Amino acid sequence: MARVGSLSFMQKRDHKTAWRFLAPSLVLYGLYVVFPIFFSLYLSITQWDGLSTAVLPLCKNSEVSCLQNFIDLWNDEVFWMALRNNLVWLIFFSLSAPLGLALALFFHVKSQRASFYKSLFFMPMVFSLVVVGTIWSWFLQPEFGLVEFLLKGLGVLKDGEHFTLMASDKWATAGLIAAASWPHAAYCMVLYLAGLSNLQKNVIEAAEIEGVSRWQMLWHIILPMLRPATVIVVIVTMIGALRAFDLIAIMTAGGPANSSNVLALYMYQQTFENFRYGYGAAISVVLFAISLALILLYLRQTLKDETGRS
Amino acid sequence: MEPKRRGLVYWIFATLLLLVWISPILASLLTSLKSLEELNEGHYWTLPRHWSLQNYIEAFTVGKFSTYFWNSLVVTVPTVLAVLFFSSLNGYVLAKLRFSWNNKLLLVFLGGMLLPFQILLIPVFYLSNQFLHTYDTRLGVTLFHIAFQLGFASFFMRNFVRTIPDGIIEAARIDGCSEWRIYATMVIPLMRPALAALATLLFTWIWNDYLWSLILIQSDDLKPITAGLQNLKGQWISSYHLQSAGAVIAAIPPVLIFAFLQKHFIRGLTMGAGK
Repeated sequence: MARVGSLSFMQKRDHKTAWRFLAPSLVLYGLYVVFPIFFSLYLSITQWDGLSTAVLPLCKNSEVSCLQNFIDLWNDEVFWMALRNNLVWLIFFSLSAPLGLALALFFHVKSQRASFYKSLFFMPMVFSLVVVGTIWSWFLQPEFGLVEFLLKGLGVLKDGEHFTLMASDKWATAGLIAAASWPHAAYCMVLYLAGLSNLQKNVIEAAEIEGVSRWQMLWHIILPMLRPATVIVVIVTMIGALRAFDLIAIMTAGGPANSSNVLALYMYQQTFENFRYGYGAAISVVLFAISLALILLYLRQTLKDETGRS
Repeated sequence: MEPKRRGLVYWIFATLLLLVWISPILASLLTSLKSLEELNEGHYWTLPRHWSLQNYIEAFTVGKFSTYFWNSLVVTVPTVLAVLFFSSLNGYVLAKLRFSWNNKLLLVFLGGMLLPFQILLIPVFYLSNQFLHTYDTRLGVTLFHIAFQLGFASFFMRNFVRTIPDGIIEAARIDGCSEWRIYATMVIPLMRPALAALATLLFTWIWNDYLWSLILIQSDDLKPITAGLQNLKGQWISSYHLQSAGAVIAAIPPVLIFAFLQKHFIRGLTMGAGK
């Protein structure tokens, strides 16, 4: 009994220390991260103008429904366009995962030259998306850009024709996703290279002795062993696709005519350019709801890894 | 699959691949080093006749990049230091103290790091504007960055501290060391590799932030370099030589960090991805 008593004394002491150590972080985190989630949920049923200190729900003292912002969203063409583009982003941005894997397999070589090459491949990863956007805007520029110049040189573009990808309402999103995939594929490459260096060598050696083909080796042995890396890559990629904002704001501002807009940017425009805070909050709630599924998936995977390890 | 040394064909192909991969960077570098006269003559994609740093000087002076650069530093460095301090404390608590809230708090920290920023935009703007009165100050952006990065950083540090054997900490406790002394004199030195990895990641993320300066800063004189670059694009619409120079300047600090601390950076990324 004395032992148990002393243990609970220790636990009490630990509790006190724990709260003391955590207090500053919890105050900051609660204020800037936890509270805002609930406040946004609340704002989405209001029509706040960004100025008044009192924020009342829509249905208070008026005929409209509290969900009016969401009803308006349902009837908002730009909202559907942005949502559709988010879906396009989800699908095509995900291609950076196989691209990263291919690059990782290709550069999974041990030599000084290989590390130098890899460093250069990784470089876009540390650029700000504002930098990526600036560089790519110039790269894809329709009169003097390098791509235009090369396509002219190769005879793909004839005289008088221009490489107008970013000005096209059909293709601007493709250009944006290409630019966004550039740093992201490098990130996937890093994750896969780490996965490759952790592979169980004996399994691969055994397979080599059995004489399996390279394709079988990749498909039946290496890929299954890379599964943990793949799960993380896929989730990080999907979250990234939903977060897309900076690059679009910089390269197209959602245009032409909202054709490359996405929810994250549309929310910003409605809130801080049109001052429709309640409406903006409603868009952010939709985005949050979509992300939540992915976040829960990620949490489950991480916890599974934890218990699997300990 | 033990990595093997490869032959000539492999390296030719690898070099071509690399050139394609970095061609957007090469394009901007080349343009940034050319004079306006040469570009006006239409010589965009030839080697410059005279290598010139004129565009860089102009970006710093006319484009006010010296101000923006300084603002980025003033936000980034304190944020990194504060996050390292608080997250290492949190990591120690979550990994080593007998504390029944450990797992719940871990989930809260972990969940926050994946949130779409949009759900935080309006409330953080509201808080800064009407409640904390930190709107349009560098302190306001710094505080937000510290808070938000604590999510990932605490998770990261907690995972690292867990690898430190309990034995040495228990021994110190039995000797009557306070938890603070254990943290400050024993755990911190052992955390050094994790702190280094985390610092490189944090520096890059904060330096590269654009969205939060857009929301929380209004005065041009307080904007960080990312917002400054966007300003430059708005004011000098088809001055691609200036824009390219600006992009290179904004990229230099994270590239330097990456070039010199690559090992830490990569380790941080792979450790942080929940592996």
